Amino acid sequence: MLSEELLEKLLEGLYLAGVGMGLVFASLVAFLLVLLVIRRVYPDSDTQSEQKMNAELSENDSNKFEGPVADQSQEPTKALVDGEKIAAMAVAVYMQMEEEENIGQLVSSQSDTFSIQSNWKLDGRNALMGSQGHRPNMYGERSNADSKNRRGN
Amino acid sequence: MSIELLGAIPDLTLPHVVMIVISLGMIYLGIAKGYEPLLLLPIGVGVLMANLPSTGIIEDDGLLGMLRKIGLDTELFPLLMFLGVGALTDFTPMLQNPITVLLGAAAQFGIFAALVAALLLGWDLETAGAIGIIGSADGPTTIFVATQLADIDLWGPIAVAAYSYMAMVPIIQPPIMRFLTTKKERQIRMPYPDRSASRKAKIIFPIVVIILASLIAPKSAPLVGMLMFGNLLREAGVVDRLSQSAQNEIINITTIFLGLAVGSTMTASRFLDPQTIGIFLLGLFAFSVATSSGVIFGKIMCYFSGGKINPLIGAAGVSAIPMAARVVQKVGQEEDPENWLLMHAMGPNVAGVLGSAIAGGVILGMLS
Repeated sequence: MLSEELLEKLLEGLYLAGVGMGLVFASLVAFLLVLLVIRRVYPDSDTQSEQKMNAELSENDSNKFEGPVADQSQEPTKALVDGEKIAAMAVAVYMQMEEEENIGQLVSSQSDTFSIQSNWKLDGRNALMGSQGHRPNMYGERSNADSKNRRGN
Repeated sequence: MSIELLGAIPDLTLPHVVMIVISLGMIYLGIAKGYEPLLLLPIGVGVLMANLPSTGIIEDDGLLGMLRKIGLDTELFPLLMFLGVGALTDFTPMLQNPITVLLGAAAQFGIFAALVAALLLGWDLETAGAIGIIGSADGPTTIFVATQLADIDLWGPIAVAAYSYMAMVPIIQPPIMRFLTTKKERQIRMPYPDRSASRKAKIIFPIVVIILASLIAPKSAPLVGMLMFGNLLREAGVVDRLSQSAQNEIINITTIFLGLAVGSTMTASRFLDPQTIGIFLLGLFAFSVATSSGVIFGKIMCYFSGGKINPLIGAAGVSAIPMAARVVQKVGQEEDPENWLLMHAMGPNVAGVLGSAIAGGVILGMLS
């Protein structure tokens, strides 16, 4: 059995805890509502700017698309030829890129083979190749700043 | 040999020696173990200097006495600390997922549970409130409330208990979190919010919080006001120098002085008392209940959200920032290594900072 004094303290404590937690919750629920309102009124700027950018891009794309047609409205066949040319150029560029990629893969597969054989050997070869093709500076172009400074110039 | 030549050595008593050992223990824990070194190191040195006899350093005109008068008696230091905390805190995770604010409120239950327990154990109402605030897991709030409600004898033990348990969050929280949740609940993966918060929202939020908090809990105005002012400096984007000062110089200088001042209140006659043990035990109780209530509320939110909220993030509602959020991440990853809960836990964690400041104001409003 709880003594009367202890019971009184318990009730007082529970009352304070109830009121205190109520106030804390009320405050934070108020903040929650404020947050929800702020988010609605001021949505994320990144999302907004992204949407704006997308809108601008789509607008530009449509202008680009409509542009030649509008410009060449009196010469529809020419516009069609331009479109064909663009398509042909795109295919050519793609094929060229594909070809370069194949060559790149071939080179990289060769270097892979080297690396399997010996990295040391490959490093040495690269160092040797990297050191080629450099001539020493001509006598007149050599840096002599230090000697000039020593002379007080 | 004249006794004056021995200096203060004859004045050294056993309680002094015990306190010096305690201070060295704090310094050791701070340096060697990394337990809240920013506070435990200055507090430890403050305790050490305060317990060297006959120095006069803790008298009103002594160095530590002046620091105590200027910074603790006036409650200035905790408020300056809160300015820095506000400037360091990014409320974006809470703005992204506002519902997590409720978890920051639920975790404050530890404060009131400890208050009831302290009352039942025989402490008076004001002291019970000061002890209960340890459950806020927030150093500046604890010191701010304790200096207004408790006797000076208890400032040191309450502050040290708060910082000690904050350092022990990774030890205290995980067993409670595992006990209160099922494996399935701990494995819940939460979807990331599809949008961030706008700059305008980040600027308006602190201003509105200052107004609302001051109206609902007027005594929380200094704490919430400084916290949100610091945050406004950060988010305004036009006062970088002030924001940087609040984040670095102000909070660092205040930390040094606050630590020394709190340490200086822990003299042998005040600290070596059975009630100090009681304060530490009640502080642990407050921390445990705060963690439990956060997790239980997380479970309730999990149920009502159809299993979309991982209840573990409720444990981050205690404001030990960012340690509590890291603990959530760690416990979550124990069950599912691919589960990334850290950013979800930061929402309740920053809400906990706000909630603890409000709770501190509420306690002061009801008891002072």
